Amino acid sequence: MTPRIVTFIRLLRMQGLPISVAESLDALHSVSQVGVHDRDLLRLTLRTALVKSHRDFSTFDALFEQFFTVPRHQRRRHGQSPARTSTGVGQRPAPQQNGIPVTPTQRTPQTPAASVRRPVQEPPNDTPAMESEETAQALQALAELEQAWQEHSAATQQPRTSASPEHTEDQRAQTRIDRPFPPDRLANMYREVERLAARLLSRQALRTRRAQAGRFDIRRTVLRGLRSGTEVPFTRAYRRRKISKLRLIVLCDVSGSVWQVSTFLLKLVHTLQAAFASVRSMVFVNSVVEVTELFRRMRFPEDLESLRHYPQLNLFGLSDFGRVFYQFSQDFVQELRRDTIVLILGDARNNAFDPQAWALAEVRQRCRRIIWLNPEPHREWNTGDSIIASYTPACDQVLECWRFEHLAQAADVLLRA
Amino acid sequence: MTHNPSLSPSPAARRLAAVADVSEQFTAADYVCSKETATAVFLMVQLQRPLLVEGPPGVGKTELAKVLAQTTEAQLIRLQCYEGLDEAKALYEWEYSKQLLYVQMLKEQLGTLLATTTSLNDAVALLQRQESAFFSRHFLLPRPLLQAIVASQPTVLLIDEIDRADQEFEAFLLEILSDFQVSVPELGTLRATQRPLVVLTSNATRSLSEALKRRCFYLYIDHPTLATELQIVQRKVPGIDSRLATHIVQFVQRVRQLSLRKPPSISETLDWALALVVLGASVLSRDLIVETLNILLKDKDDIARALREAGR
Repeated sequence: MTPRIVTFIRLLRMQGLPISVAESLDALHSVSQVGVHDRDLLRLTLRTALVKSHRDFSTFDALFEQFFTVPRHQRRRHGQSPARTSTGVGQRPAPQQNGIPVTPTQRTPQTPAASVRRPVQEPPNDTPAMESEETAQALQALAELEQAWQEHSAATQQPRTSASPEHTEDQRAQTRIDRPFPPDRLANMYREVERLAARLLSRQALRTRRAQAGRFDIRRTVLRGLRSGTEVPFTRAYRRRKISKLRLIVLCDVSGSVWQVSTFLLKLVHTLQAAFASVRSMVFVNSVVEVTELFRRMRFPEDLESLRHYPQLNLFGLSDFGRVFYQFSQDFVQELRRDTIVLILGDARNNAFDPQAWALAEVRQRCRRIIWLNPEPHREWNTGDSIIASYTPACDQVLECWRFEHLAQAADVLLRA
Repeated sequence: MTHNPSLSPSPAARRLAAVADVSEQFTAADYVCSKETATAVFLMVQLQRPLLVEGPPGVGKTELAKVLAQTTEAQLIRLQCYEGLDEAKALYEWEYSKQLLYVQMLKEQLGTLLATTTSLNDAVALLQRQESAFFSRHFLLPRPLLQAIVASQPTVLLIDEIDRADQEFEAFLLEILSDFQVSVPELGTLRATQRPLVVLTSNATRSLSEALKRRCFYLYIDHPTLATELQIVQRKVPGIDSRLATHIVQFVQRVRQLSLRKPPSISETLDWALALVVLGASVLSRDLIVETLNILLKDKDDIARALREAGR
């Protein structure tokens, strides 16, 4: 049985499930505990040991269904009766069409499903009693699989995840985030953004904790002891700095041209939420819509699209930053306080509307800081209808944000604000 | 890979020697569990792995650990996580005041002890020899993690809502979970005599680190199916009319299909069922729903939506 399970794990990895060697060993130990006679139990056992997120359950179950199906004629021969009949065909993931499937939210449907099916079913044995024969067959099946996989990869011209260009720190930092990604790399990038945010968060938590714990204050400790008359310093005194969390308001352009970068920024802010006292999120094209509620409990990347499909939001309108800032300064003036950071993402391409930069200046008067992220390279600023220069005086920082490293930089600025 | 499953099964492993045993004993303890749950519990007990339980609030994640402790006759030690939880609160602390108090009380004794010494150097040397008296287990205030490690009887360690703790606490936890030993600089290394069964729960408010997940078995408990929930209601609410129970559960299941801000959990279903029994209801009428729905749902908009659904 072992080689078969190892093959199965390989296939799971190909589908993008992160499975370590330790987990594979766990799976094998687990299977040795429960045996392989109950098919459903085998499925649950492997899933418990291998799959660590319920979002991957469907991928796992579909593959299990295909992989551990004994063809009908053999089932009769061995007198085994698996829980279900072969329903693998119906559950096969949709074949990929030219690399990019319909929605970017799905896990890469890279299954070489059609090619997998044939070789795996050919080993005529599923009983652990005939281990050695099975081993040879499984190995052969594995070889065939690999070949099928290679062919499949070549045919669809899809680079494999492991070969994607952002596999070193350095290259990742250089990755452009303003271009559309193939779906497998997109998922990868989201994971990277999350990792980045997590790193920054734990640094922030450490800072807060150190400040809260404070430094031991000998003078006051001794004084307290003296005051209590015992001369013994029973209570220790600390010098504490007070760090209070800031409030964040995110204003995010969601029009088509900058949407790709917006999604990354939203992902970043979403993960960083814990570092702020409150996060209010607004999206805009030519008017502002607050999406705080939805944003707070949204799932990435499934709910991303629903952010921009608010009825009040005219998604296909022309970007009008002036109008947006005017509306924002009118409607949210009471939300602005000395501890509020306003984070704006937009390319400031105003379609020749009135910039109304005074509205943004007014916002600046009432808040702690305005940080503007521009998803265009520096050289394109103020060209064409980009009017970033007229907003720059009102902002504390204007940063470009079109590479992964820019995102890291932005997060850093945000947390130090 | 410190464990070896083939060596000396723990008493818990002997007690829960098959998946069916788990289902049976949990059911006997009034915890209706699915095959997924039973399998995961069986594996964690057999292979002595931590079990990470995820799922929406109120589906019985914490209860699972309690029942596990009950069925394996182990002591339950619970560590509730929160933002800012640190080692001092989770592992151990020195009882500073107690140490000082002892110094005060032993002042005279120290005086006589030190009376024999002539120089300051001698006195310090003499005191140093006594140092271990003040940094002994006696002055150590064990917090849940240390308690679980030094416990002499079988233990179930419940680390509740791990997603609320900071990320670096997670990293610290990894260390503990991998070898079950703690080094206290003043005392040396404290090693677990028996490995506690560890259950971690998470509401998935943030995703946990890959490293932590890698070390755990994983179980996702979703809202129960109609049959399971009915079984739970009948077990937990004794004397409930079976028709009423069916109606309640059917209604709750329907409400969960609506996209609510907070779908009702099992515990809320049970509260509601209990309330209806106390009110002496035998059928679920619309009026009754209107009057008591605030037990099941705690959000104004949710209630309005559910009532619209009830109208149908």
